[in-house]
Amino acid sequence: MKRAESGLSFQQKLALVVLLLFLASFFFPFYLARANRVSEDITSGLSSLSAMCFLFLMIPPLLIALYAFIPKGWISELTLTLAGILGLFFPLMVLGIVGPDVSATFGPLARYSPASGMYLYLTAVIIIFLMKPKFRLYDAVGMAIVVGSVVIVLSQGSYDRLGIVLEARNLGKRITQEVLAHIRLTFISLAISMVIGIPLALASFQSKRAKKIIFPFLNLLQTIPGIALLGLLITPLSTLSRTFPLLREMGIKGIGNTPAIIALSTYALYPIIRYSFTAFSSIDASVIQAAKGMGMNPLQVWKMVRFPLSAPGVLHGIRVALIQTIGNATLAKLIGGDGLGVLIFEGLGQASVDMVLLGMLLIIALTVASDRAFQVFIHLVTPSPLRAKAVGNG
Amino acid sequence: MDDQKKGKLMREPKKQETETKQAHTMHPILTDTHTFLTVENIGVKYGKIEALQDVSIQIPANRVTVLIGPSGCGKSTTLRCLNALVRNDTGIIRYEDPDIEGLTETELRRNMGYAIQSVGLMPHLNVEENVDLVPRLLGWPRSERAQRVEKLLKLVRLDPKVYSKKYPHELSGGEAQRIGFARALGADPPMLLMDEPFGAVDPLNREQLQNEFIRIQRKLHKTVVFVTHDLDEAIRLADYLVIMKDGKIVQADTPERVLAAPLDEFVERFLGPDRSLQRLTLFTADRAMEEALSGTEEGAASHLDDCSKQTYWQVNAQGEPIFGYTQVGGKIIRRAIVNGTHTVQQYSSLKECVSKILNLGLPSAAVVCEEGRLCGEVRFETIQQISQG
Repeated sequence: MKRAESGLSFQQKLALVVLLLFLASFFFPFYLARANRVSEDITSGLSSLSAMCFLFLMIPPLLIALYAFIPKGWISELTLTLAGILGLFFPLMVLGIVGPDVSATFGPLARYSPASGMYLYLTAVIIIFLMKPKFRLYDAVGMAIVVGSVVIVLSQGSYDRLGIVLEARNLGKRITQEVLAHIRLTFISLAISMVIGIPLALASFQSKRAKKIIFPFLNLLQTIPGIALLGLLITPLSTLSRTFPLLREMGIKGIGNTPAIIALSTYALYPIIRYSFTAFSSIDASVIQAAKGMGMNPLQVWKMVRFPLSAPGVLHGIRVALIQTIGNATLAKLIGGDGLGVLIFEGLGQASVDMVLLGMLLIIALTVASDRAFQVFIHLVTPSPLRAKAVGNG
Repeated sequence: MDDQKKGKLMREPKKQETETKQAHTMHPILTDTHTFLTVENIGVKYGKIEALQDVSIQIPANRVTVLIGPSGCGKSTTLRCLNALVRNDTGIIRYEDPDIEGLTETELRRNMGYAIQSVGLMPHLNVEENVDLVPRLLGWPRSERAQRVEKLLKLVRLDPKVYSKKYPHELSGGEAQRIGFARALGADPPMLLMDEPFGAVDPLNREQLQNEFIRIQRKLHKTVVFVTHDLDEAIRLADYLVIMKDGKIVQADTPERVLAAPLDEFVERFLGPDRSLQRLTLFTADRAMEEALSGTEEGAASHLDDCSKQTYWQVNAQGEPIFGYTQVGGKIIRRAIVNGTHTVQQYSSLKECVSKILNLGLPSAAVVCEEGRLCGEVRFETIQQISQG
């Protein structure tokens, strides 16, 4: 008890970190502006903002300071939620407010982007969200309001000179194309990986000898750097397509999407085989013994016992593979493939941070969305008693 | 999957050397029933270790055969040979019934109930689906199966309305064992194999489950092969007791005869020093039960005076015993009775009766039915007579 009185609680320590981050963010440039896409950056700190903007930005830190001192309860939780939502809203609002100023100062081709100060500020906000014990409905509602108001402001034209908006406008339809291409690459690779991986997991489970061959090979594949694997694939694939014109017509070439898909499905094999193998082998031996003892033939043991019981584990492997493949698919661009990597690598080539940022945000959104969707899917296909078991009532 | 077709039950020995030994390994068999199956000189090797050597048993039909011995003695292996979960390297297992003799391995297993220590209920199936598994494998019609499940749940005294939709993780250990037992009885097989089925339950529940087992077995008369390492359990349940050691049979006979005449030093040590007390486990309370004298509190004094009985039981409106009275040296002694701690059931062992009698300090133990009603008493004198043979 004494320690709790004299020291700070964990939540208070976190609040302190958040406060320090907020404080630091005020000493760094909040946004940077340029007269045109290639001209030099001109950074602007807090001092250049209007007093009102500054006051708004001060509200979340004050709320956090308050949170650290009020006792635990619904009031403190509300304070935390408010700090998070407002911490998300105000910087975005400030960006909308400074937009017209920037074009007034730097001319019609001017553009501006958030800078290190704002990134620090947003990092603090993310920690606020992580401090919450649970993501509740009103958090979701608050987020929706923030996103909704950003969309409205966007359509009003206040963000028109924001670098990332300008890049998105320039790219236009290509964004949708690349997002779709990214999804397609991911799904084809994942499907191939499942078709190969699950039978291999089965084989490793059934025979020790198969496992002795498959697992070391899998570990080896995992150590090859992604970019190197793409490079290695160029020569054999281009030789193949040159020798067999039919393959060339089917689109199999040394560069493009084919080597990307091969590489991606190779990487996805690891989680799929590992997780499936673990799922198969972690079934209670007594259940299998009882199943055999009751007179199930080997096929029935698989169909009625092993598959239903291992399904959640196998699906989790696929989920890990999915997340990993969405990220890795970015590399497809390096070998002439499509996908959101195009935005990132083109952005890097043109030294346009905004374009890289745009690509990155899209990949994050895609990853989070597919992860959530897949979790819901796993939840729905898992028989309810197995869900309860995960809680520890086994 | 190939061995399944090869695995007809007539499993020919790999070597023919065993035939000569047959005569001297035969143990006494039960004479009041026919033989259900004969195990002849089977041997099992796990690598270099000989798990079973030259084991021969004649399993009596409609009786409980208990295999007992220290761990690693091969009792479970023997059991698993019977439903071909373990393949015997030498020897033959012959079934008297020619219909069973012709079955394949999986068909054979469906015709033998199988219950194991950890129960092995399918965690993704509810109670109903678990009990229904073997009838489903056998392709019974749906309506018949539903009726069967209900009947089985009632047999093991679990309310179908409450339990049929529950999942294994929602059951207590004892309930799970009952479901495991019901599942083994699923397709009404002539034979049951039980591999330490009550091994994972606490002693109180264990006793209860044994009582249930005795009750059901007296009703159904299945051919049961039961593996256990608990001597009390073995003596209570066995009609035919098989004691094993190091993959061999040491002695096989009725528990009475084994207790009376242990064949060698090992059996003697295994049975322990209190063999006369152990003999009491052979008998159930209903065998020694007689009518009890009972009534209201007022009746105690008068009844104890002018009656041959030494104990008077005071019962409440539901007929449950609440006090016991006896007369010692002209003074009446009264003892309060807690159901379960001081009472026994119809199928409790006489050993338990003795313990209750000593516990309560009265000359007899109250026997209660399932609802807790007093249905008789077991007197210490009767127990004495029985133990002396």
